[in-house]
Amino acid sequence: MKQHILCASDELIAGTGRVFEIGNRSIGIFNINEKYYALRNRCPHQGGPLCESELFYRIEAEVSEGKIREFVPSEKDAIACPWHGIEFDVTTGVCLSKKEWKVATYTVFKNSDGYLVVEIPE
Amino acid sequence: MGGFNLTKKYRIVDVDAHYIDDPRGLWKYLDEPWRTRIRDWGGKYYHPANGGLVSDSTMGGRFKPNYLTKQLNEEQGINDEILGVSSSEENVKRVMDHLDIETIVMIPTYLLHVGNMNDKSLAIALSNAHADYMLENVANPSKGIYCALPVPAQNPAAAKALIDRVGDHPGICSILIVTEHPVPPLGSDFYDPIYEAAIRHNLPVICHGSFSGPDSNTYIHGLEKWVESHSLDFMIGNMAQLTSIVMQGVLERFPGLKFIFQEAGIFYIPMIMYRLDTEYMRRRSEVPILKKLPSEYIKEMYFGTQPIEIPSKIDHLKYVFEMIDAENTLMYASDYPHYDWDHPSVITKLPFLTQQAKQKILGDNARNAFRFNEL
Repeated sequence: MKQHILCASDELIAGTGRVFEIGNRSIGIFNINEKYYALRNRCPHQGGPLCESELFYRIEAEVSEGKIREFVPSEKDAIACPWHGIEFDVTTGVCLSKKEWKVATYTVFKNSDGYLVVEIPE
Repeated sequence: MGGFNLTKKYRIVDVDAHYIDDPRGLWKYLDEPWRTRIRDWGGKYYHPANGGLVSDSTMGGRFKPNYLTKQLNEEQGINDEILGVSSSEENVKRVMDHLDIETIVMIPTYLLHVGNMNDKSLAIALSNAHADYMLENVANPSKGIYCALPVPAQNPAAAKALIDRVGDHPGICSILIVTEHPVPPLGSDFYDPIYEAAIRHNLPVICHGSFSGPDSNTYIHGLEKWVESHSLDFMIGNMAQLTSIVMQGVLERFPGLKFIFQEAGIFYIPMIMYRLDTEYMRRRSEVPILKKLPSEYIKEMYFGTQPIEIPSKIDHLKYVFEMIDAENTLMYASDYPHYDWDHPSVITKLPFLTQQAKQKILGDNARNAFRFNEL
């Protein structure tokens, strides 16, 4: 594993993401309520730029008293590939509509100097 | 962002890419009174380009039509209005170069409404003006850019006149008839003037849907969701028109006329093949003009691949390919920039295809089906 310094943490405000080119990898970094997530910027569907998506609310539903109740959780933690709109959970990299698809995720954290650091396999 | 370096292996033809046409600019190509009517077309937005009349087809912006074009333009510092109401030969060429597409067939977006225009004179006026606009501004065979010719099929005499007027232009590679709600269905001899003109000009017939959504044009009224109507509409349209064309013996009345069905994926094709064969076995006396099984006629037709269905078990796709003789009947179609477009890798990455089969689907079948005449 190799660590790469990305940017000052205050350059990535909560609720947003940004794509970084690291070697031959394109990585998307997202800030969800001051927790950071890193995903490979490549949609498994047809190779689209998945992490160029903004963060979306993950609209969910359940059956309640025999009826469908739709709801929106409090935080935006989904992204959708701009090419075809296929959604992924930012926190796990798992596709919301086809669970067998998973985008590579990486460890990312804020270091003691206030910079975002991502760990990438060499 | 570089290209995909596919030209080293394949010569790609994209048989279904969409020009974002704006009918309001066609007034310059019209005679009065349509010249005045179209020039004075009121309202900033005649119709949302994504097809939704009253609801959001893009799922809150989760998919972004034209995204690749915007990226390519931004890379080159080009500020081009891409709000669904403009496009250009330059934009088309930029996307072709990026996706390694050698030849492209331009299908309109707005003018896919031509089949649904109850005002026949409007349909005739706009389809003629559209043809003149595209041939003057977009078609460029030397750069591999060809146009399909949408015809006002609701008036076959006018459609024939349009084909006779521009059909020999080298920028035209096909005619196009919209598959949603033509009355009567396309197998009727009502359309014979169109088919006669097409075959005389050596042009195939593209059968293509128009718009689909729970609020418009859907075959099954009462469907509430985009995921319902968009799953079915183009497929139902294609199946209905294909059934009519086959069972009414169009291919016996016009031997050599090529039909190309687009934008409904491919899994419906074996279903309709075997369904029609089963019915025909019982009712041969009703359609004695047919000299072979319906499935044999269907395997003489061509089908655009988009939006290709890729199951988790890839063998299922392989079986469909076998059933429909895909190596000889399928043609790669992107449908770019619409939101369910397919990248060429949907074909290049299929593990069960030989290189030869990939090249046929990616380009050689199209070069057999279409009339591509480079200037």
